[in-house]
Amino acid sequence: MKTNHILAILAIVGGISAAFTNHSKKNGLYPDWKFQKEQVEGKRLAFISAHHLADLIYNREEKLILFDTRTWKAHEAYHIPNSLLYDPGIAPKAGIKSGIIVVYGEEEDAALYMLARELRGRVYILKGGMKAWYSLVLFPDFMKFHVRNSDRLEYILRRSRFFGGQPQNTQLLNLEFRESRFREGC
Amino acid sequence: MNIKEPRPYWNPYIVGVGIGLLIIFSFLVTGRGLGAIGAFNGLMASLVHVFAPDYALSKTTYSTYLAGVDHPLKDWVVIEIAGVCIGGLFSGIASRRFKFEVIKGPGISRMTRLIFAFSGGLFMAYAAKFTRGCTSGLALSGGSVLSPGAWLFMISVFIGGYSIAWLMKKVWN
Amino acid sequence: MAPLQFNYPIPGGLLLLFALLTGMAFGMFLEKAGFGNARKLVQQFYFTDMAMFKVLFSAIVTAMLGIYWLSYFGVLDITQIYINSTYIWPQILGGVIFGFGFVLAGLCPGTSCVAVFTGKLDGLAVFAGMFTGLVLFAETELLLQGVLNFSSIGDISLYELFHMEYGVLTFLIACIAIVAFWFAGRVEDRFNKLSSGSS
Repeated sequence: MKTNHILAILAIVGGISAAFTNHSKKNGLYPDWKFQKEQVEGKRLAFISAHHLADLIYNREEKLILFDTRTWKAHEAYHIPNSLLYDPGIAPKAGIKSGIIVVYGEEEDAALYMLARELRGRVYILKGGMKAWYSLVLFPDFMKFHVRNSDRLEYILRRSRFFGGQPQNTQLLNLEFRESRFREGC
Repeated sequence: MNIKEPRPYWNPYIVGVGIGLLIIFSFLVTGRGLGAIGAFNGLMASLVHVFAPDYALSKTTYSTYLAGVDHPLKDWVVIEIAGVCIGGLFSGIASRRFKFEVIKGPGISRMTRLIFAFSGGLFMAYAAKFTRGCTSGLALSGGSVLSPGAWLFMISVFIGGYSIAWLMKKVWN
Repeated sequence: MAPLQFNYPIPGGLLLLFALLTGMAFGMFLEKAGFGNARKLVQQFYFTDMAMFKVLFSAIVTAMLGIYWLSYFGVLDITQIYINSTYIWPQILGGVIFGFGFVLAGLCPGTSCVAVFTGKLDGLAVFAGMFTGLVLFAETELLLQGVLNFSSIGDISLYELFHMEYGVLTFLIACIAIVAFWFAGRVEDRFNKLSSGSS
């Protein structure tokens, strides 16, 4: 039957293309990607998501070395806990033997990429920089998350408070608010 | 007497794609898919409210459809089901399938069939309150947004249906 | 940005008009597939007419692909749509009982409307049964509170549960569906040959 074959082909094409697109990573707010490698200005660089960095610090999971590449004033105003203001002298030439090195700036720029390439060891760039840290870790807007499991939302709330932040639109955690938009059951 | 033949049924895949497109439009406009049992619940709630308002408000089954709305019948699912009825009617007339009859297998009486239909409806509505939806609301709309409960529900419905089908062979075939 | 209801001021009357039109199209589709006839619907469970499975699954795959692509291109905001909550055991057990009821009645709540409005009187019996079932549930709901809310995991999505990519799961389901459709066609032919061979 010809119509059925056409429908099947459409479904397969729609499905295959879906498999190769990064739906959730596209909006940058999906909390579950941890590390990814990307081709930036001709070189492959490794990135860490703000969510995963926050998880690692909050859960004390790994030995972390954080380098802040911003100005002294910015670092003084607020820096990610336990991060060091970077200056060329503090990174030993031989590289740091164990632990994850994360470099971050206000945003990602060419200087940050160059630094990441120069350092030796497991170096990651904070994807989105401090902007991402503010919007995903310190001041997460629950309206923007498409994670709807309330356990995960509560965890993000606790984590945000741990870092001294303030989550936004927490009424989404309130089941009654969600139910007031939608009556449960159909 | 010239008895007109009913028109043939459509290709089920075409019907499925059509319903799928409807679900997409529904999500685009309202953020929700289709529904069926919610309409029956709303109808029941408004009916009970007419005769016994305090009783209706005391039961969550009814109060969720009565609280905070102008009128329980001015509800999306209720109007949608009204549309299903109208659409079915027009389509039935146009396809020459409109006929007053009781659909049943050859082996049983009409009374038996009606009793089975009644008890089937009872089980379905009771179970639908547990599952928070029926096939159109939960399986179709929930399945398309990949809700685990919807998929579990669908699988369970098939399991339940197939397990009782061999008992009901005489009724249908 | 869709859903339109939450992002633009749409008058309630217009939404209800949309509900009516959607319902009419839905009713037409169900009737055209022949689901006003309980006997045809139930043949699914005897393997001689897999139309119910075909319609159900193809609708789900179409809607799933549509929602994926519309949300990928930013037309639909999936954080604002309703994802049915998952209550594991109530939905499994409720599903089995719903399946029992389905084969007993031959009609599901939506198709029973189509049946009634194409003159099938058994649809009226299903209506009566459903109303009675709801009244019965309202009577017994206090006893059932524990069971009703047991094993809820919230409105999570299947790909979050399996730690998969949304797109990969969409593709997998589309593939499984196509294989299942092919298989269903084969089963249908086999059982129809069996029943016509023996008569």
